[in-house]
Parts: sequence; C-alpha cells; structure tokens
Amino acid sequence: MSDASGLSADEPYVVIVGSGVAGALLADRLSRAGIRVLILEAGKQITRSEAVSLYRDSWRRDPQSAYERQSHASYPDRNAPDRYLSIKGEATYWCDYLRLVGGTTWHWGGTTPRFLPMDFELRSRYGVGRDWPLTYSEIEPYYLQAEQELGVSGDSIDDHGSPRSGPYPMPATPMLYSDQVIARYLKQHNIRVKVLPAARNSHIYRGRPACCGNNSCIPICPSGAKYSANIHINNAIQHGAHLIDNSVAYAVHVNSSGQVESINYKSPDGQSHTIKGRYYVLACNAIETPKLLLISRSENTPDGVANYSGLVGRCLMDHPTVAKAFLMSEPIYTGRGPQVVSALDHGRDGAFRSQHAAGQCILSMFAPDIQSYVTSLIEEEKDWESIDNRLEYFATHHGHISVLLEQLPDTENRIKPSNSEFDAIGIAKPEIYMKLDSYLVNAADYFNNFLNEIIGFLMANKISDFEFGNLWASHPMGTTCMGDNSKMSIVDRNCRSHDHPNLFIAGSSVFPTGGTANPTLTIAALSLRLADYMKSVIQTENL
Amino acid sequence: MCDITKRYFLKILTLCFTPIAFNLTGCVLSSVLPKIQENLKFSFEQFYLLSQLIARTRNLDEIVSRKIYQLMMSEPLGTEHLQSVYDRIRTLQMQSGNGNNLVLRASDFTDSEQWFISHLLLTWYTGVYYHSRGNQHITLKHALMYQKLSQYRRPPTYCGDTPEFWARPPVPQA
Repeated sequence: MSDASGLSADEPYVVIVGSGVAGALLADRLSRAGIRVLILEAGKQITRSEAVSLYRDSWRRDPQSAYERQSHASYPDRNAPDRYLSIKGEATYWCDYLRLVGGTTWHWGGTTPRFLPMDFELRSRYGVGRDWPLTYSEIEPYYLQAEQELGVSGDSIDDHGSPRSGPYPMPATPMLYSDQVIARYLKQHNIRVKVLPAARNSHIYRGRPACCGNNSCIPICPSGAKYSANIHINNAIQHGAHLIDNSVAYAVHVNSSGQVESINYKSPDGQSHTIKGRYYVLACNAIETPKLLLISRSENTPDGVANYSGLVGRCLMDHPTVAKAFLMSEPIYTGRGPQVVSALDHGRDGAFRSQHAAGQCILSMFAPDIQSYVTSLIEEEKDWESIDNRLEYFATHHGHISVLLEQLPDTENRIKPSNSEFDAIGIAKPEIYMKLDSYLVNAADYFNNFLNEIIGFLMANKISDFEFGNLWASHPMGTTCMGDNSKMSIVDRNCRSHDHPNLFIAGSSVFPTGGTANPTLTIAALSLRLADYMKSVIQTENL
Repeated sequence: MCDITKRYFLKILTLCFTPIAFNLTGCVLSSVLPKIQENLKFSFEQFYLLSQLIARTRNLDEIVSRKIYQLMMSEPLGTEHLQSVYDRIRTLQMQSGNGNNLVLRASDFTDSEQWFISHLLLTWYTGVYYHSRGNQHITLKHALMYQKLSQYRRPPTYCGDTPEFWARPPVPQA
C-alpha cells in the first residue's frame, strides 16, 4: 500500500470522510480556524452545467438522471440494472442518495424546517422512542448559524413551533399560486397553510442568484439558487483544506489503545491507499457511515469499529410517506416555481404521539407527473383527439399532498454490509432490513383519513392513493445514534465515539429520533456544533 | 415499453407460415417483397406531414422530426407501419371530405396501426423514444407535452420567468 496523503504525518489534522453537507460545513469551519483538514470523497467532482446537460439529454427523468454512473462509487438507482442497495426487509424501502463532491445536496428539495423542541424529548414527553442527549435550546444557536451558512429564506415572524433567537437571512419566497388557492379553501376549516423555510435564495445571497422557479430542485437546480454543499467544500479548499475525490474509504484501523490510526481507501483503479490523521470524522450519511464501520473488522475491532454496543447500523429510520394526488375544480397551475414551498400547520406534535407517529403535511411534494399521465392517455386510453385538452386540464388542476411520518428507532430496522453482494471495486453493498410497526401503521390510518378530509374541503377529486410503505422521503437517519449511555449509543452528545476518542461522526446517522422535519438543517447545525467542539478539543490538546 | 423485436419476429413467422397454412407457393411470398421495397422510400416530407396530422400540430420542430424519422425508419417494420398509417389516414381524409378536421379514432385503425400511432405520438409528446433495443432521448424542450403547455409552464430546468412569478396565475396568451 502506498501513502497518498502528501501531508506530513506528524502534523495534527483532521481526516473527514464524506463531502456532503455535514463534512463540507465541518471542513470549512475547521480550515478557517487554521486546522489542517483532509477530505476524502468516494465520488467525483461535477459541475452544475454538466448535471443540467445530463438531465436534459437523458431519456430518464428521475432524481438520479442528472448524474453519471461511477463504477467505483455506486449509489442507489432503482431504475438501473445494478440498484446498489440490497433491500431485504418486509417493507419496500428505498433511499436515493449521491456519492459526489457535495453529496446528496445536489438533488435535495431544499426544505429546511427545524426540529420542534418536543422532538428532542419524545421518550420523556410521550413515553415512546428515545430522548436526545441535547435539548432544543442547546442546538438553537447552531440552527441559526446553519440558516446563515446554507442561506435560508423564511418568515421570521412565524417560528413554526421552533423558537428563534434571530431572523432568517432572507425573507420567505412567496407562496405558490396553487398553494394560495388551497390555503383559501382550507382557511374556512381553520387549517393554516404556511410557507416552509428553504435553503433557496429569495434574493441574491453570497454570490448566488435568486430562485427563478425552474421547477427542478430535484434532480438539479440549474442556477445554484438552492444550496449545495460543494460551496463549502470550495470554501474549505480556499482556506487550505485538501480534497481527494474518487477515493472510496473501505477500512478504519484502530490500534490496541483504541485510537483510530489510519483509514484505507481505494482509487477507481482498485488500488489501495492509506491516510493517517490525528482525528477522524465519518460523514458519509446514515447508510455509508455504518457500512464503513461494520466492514472495518480487525483483531482490535472484531465486530467493526465503534461497535462495542453492537448497535452500529441499527435503528435505521426514514420518513415513510402517505401521499395522495387530486384534481381541483379550478385551475391551480402546479408545476410552476419551486417544487415544495408550503405545508399544512397540522400533525407535527400533540398528545397523540404516545399512540401514533407525528407527520409533516406538505403540498406539492411531487411536481405533477405529466409524462406518466400523457403516456396513459396515449397508450392505454388511445384517446388521441383529446390528448391536448385532457393534458391541459390535468396539468392545471392537478395537486399533491403528502405526509412525512416520524419513524421510531427499532433495532431490527438496520443496514449491514452484504456478505454476498459487492460493488465494482470489491466493497460490500449495503443490505437493508426495514419493517413498518403499529406506531406507523396507526399514523398512516390517521393521516389517510385526514388527507381524504382535506381533499373533501378542497372540493377536489382524489385521483390516486400511494400505497403506504412504498414511498419514502430518502431521509436515512439513526444508524450510529448519539446518547449518554455507551451501551445504548455509538457517539456522545458531541458526536464523539464512545469507543475511540479520536473518532467523530457527523450527519443524520447520529439522530436518536427523526422527528418530522426534513433532516438537512439539523445535520448542518450538528456539524457546526461539532466544529466548535473539535476546535476546542484540538486547541486544548495542543496547549 | 414497446416490443418491436417481438412484433418483428411474429410478423416474420406469420409470413413464413402463411404459405404453408394456405398451401401457397413461394412465389406468393416473393410477391410481397417488392411492396416492402417501395415502402423504404417513405420520405421525410411524408413523415413530417403524417406527424403533423397525428399530433394535430402544425409547427413541429424539424430537427426533432428528423431524429424521430430516422429512428422510425430504422425499425424492422418502420416503413411498413408508416406507409400503412399514412395510406389509412389518406383514405379517411378522402372519405370524410374534410381532411383538415379529420378526427382520428382508434377504431378506424387496425391493431397494428393503433400501436404504431401510439408509438409515434408517445415519442412526440414525451420526447423519449421507448424501444426494447434501448430507450433514447430525443428532446426535452420540444417534447409536445411541454410545447402544448407552454403558456403555463416551462420544461424542468428551464427558467420559468422573473423570480416570484409563481405567486401569480399565468397570463393566458392571445
């Protein structure tokens, strides 16, 4: 094995594995503080224009279609012959993520609600799930910083139930016309529709333009108005960080003292390299991070790294989704502007959480799929003469409403490295086991009825129900959870491994519970908090 | 996804077995061949006209049209399908006496012709050529499903309008 670091081994620096939002913010903060940072990223660097061109020139029109396949760093692709994820559980789980410089922020929706204070205290308040070792008030200052870093537009008057110590950096983007019409109907029934905060510019911010409504946040924002983590990777590099892309970490080595002493990675040609640092941070998402820990078996870590508790990879959570499509009786013109702007003020908290899951009710979660509709008109109905009239009616009257449900941590829901399926460079693929419990099924029943009621209030015709269990938000969380008890968690309240003091984990894998908020802002806030903690640790140890 | 290969083999099988089933000689089969040769001459101009009629759209993009023409002509029975549908529509136009307002009803076409019309329409509307040999991108911007909705929305990734336009309903074009 060769040593490819190119950096002096006796200098204290931090090796960060993963360049998504968690790794990028951390790299930026540490390098600004003069700390030498090395970032390992499994995938390659891409440009926005490449991704836009790929999407426009692809016959596929799905979230992954803007991104070229990489044989050395596969990522989930349900429409490819090699799907990468091996799904073994009862539920039809799926999760789209990317392995590129900037990670999955290339094709996220950009929605950035905070967790509610109660989301951190699920066990204490409702007797289910777990409590976080942190309170909302401890993380609130970092939420505020994260909103500044990502560039969040929001209504500073309305805290959405999450108290704020300062304003959003930008005013909220205006509500979609479709959401305004829906809000008018629902107001008569005392249901409020609110604009969600989003990391999408409502005006020029830090050199990025205002959103001009391309309606393609997923798969790719063509203008850069929506935040993507390559921004902070570039900032970190300007401040001295070193990036090695196309480098797939496959082993974390722990010495007999319990310290991580090196990481092995493979380049696309399959050659192995070793990198050494003083501190190590795994920030590869809630599927790749536990996979890396679990494949890192050695004499000193026979069950994998950071896994004395046996819980690495367990308690995988996501936001299983209840969704319905409907046709309004008046035109609402969906498909114009950002893909997700508003939510219903309902269902995120209450005493019901002791019985069933909370949910976040989102409008226009999915742009109307006119391609599927026009295909059915042409192929199945053969109604050729009416295509244009029916297409126009559908496209202007069609709406979507969906509910992201909170899933409780369950040790049987897990990711583990496959023993039989390997990627092109011989690394185990993720094998996923997922099931739906009664806490979720009861919530699905409740929110199904609620959405039917909403569609009734809208005097709309329901045109489709998506079967519960088949639709997931691609928000993987919880597989290396944080906690004060080392037998029940992987990292402590500062995201430091209980087992290995120079190992940290960043990202949604540390979430003890998942709440109903889209996870990115909380990932960002925890990363900024981790940056402060690591700076203090490094400064103290170097005194 | 359409299955040209399967259709092609079924057609070949039919052609091969027909003389046996009806106790016909090989010369009957050979008499079919010159007709297929003629079909190979189906011109781009004919294709463009046929596409206009089927899609009920006068201003079809010519570059896109040429791409689709080449793909259709490269199909094993492409020219035969094109000629068959073309001839059928011409007959219907003459029968109706009002060719400009001809209504295309599926029941006026054979199963094979219906399939081909759907295939051609789907390609024009989605901008994607679906085929068992491999799907192909044709166009996003000029896909008819977006062209026909152009007063309401742009195709994904194309800038909609000035920022915040989405808060107002679209203004219908004259």
